[in-house]
Amino acid sequence: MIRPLRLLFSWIVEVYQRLHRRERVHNVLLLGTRPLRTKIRASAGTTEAGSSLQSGRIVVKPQSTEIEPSNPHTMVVVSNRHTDTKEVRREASTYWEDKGWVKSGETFSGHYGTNGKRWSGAIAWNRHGFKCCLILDPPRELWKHPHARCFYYVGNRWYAVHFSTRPRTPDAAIIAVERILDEATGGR
Amino acid sequence: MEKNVAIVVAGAQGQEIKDLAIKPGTTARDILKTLGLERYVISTGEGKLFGPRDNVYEAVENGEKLYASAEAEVGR
Repeated sequence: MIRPLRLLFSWIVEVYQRLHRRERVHNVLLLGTRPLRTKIRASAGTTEAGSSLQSGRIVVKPQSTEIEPSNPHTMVVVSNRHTDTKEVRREASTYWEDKGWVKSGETFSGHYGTNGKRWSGAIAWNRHGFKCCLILDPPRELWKHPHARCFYYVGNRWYAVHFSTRPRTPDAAIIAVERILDEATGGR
Repeated sequence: MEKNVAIVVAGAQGQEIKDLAIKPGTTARDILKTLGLERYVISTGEGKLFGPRDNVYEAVENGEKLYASAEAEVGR
């Protein structure tokens, strides 16, 4: 008596699963944007484990389904991988540009800065190269520096800077003057 | 741990940028030698100038921009 009932239940379960699976496949095929290229893969073991008999009632559990794109190149990979590197600023702007100096004709003007202080400056440059380098009202401490005599007065509170090695770029001139100012004002 | 730095090399013909990963203990001389720059100096954006033996690795932040420019010297 029990065996025929079990067989009947098994048959009902099997029929239900078949119907359920067909319906699901049908939905996928209808809803998919590329139905012909869509594969459906059922996870292993779900057919047998997908149903159970509980207190005379058939419970059908949903089977997990994976939809894979047939063309792996269409997949978008989003990576949240955390790395320890930091992006390096790529602008190849020069020192004088980054320090806010501006170029007007053959003259660069801006500020020499060190130790939180700054002094107005100007550098004359032409296509042949460096012409002269000026600083307005250099600090008093500069006159105690060994290179004090390399700064000479040219008028109107401006001092010219003499170089033993001529700067080949405006950057070099600014950096060289800032180095002296740094030493004079107690940076080193 | 390495630090990444960008070094703007200013020359008479313009400037170019070099990306370097420096290891602990890297000095200014090491960097200039690697870049093949003679009589150049390296400085930070704040105007700090590195001597040849100064430890650049310790003084810079990861991702910092540095400047290499031809050496010029104030003097008579």
